[in-house]
Amino acid sequence: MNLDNKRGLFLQKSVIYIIIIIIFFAIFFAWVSSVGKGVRNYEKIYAKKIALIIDSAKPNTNVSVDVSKLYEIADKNKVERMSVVKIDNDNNIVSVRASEADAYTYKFFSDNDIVWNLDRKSGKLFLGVVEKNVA
Amino acid sequence: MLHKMNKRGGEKYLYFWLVINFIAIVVAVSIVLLLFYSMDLNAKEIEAQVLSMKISDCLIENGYLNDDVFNEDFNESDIIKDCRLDKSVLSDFYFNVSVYEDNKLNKNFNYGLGDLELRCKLMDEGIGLDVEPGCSTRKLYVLKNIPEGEDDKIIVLNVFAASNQEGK
Repeated sequence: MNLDNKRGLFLQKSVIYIIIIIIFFAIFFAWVSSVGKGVRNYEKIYAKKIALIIDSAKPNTNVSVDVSKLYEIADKNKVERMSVVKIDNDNNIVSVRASEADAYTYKFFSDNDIVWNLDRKSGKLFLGVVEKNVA
Repeated sequence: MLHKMNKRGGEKYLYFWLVINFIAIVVAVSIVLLLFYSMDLNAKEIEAQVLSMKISDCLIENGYLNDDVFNEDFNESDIIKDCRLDKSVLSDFYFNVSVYEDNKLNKNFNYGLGDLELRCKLMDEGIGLDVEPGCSTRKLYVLKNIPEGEDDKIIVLNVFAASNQEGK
């Protein structure tokens, strides 16, 4: 009887211990996978890339940027494709958002107007650099 | 009795070392991940290069420095306007344009976050900074328009640009 109690106690302890380990590692791996996706890094890379293209482009230049990787991430995170990239000409800001978190924003110093269009199917961002009309 | 006590003690030590092992694994993986994913995707230096290139491109035409530069009322705002730069964004940037004629400083224009120049110099001297700006210097030999009948004069145009832009 005494031996059975001891065995039961040992089994109980072991089960609790294993459950704690499973919970601990489940949380840890969930965190690792969320960090490992690197969504923020992709947002940073694309925002900076687009801003640099705009800064170095001369007026009347047309450029297309492949943003299909961003679409891929946005689809996984259930973010509307058309809202992945936004360019604000008034404040000179490129914002990239591929997850539900806030968009990553980066400024461009070029004072030209940017005409832009996102192609949902081809995964391309078309940029047109136009001289700003000064009234 | 003594034998039983030792057994229980051993069990405790085993749990202790297992926990220490788990913590070590978690800490090691976390450090590697954080180091890898927090790496600085730095575009400041390229940005500074683009800015210095843009300024020099708009001041030089066919190898000649724009005559307006030598006008007395020509200033930093004219460079910003002529080079199509946005003044509001330049608060994170700095540029300095200096024109040397016969090894003497003739014209000097600067705009933006002034301490960036000093920080770039400190970096050049190998002094580490917490937040390092991107720096770019362009030294160009250009021609100056002079009255007809005389030879073109070679002058030096120094364009320094720095960026300290951090995205949000």
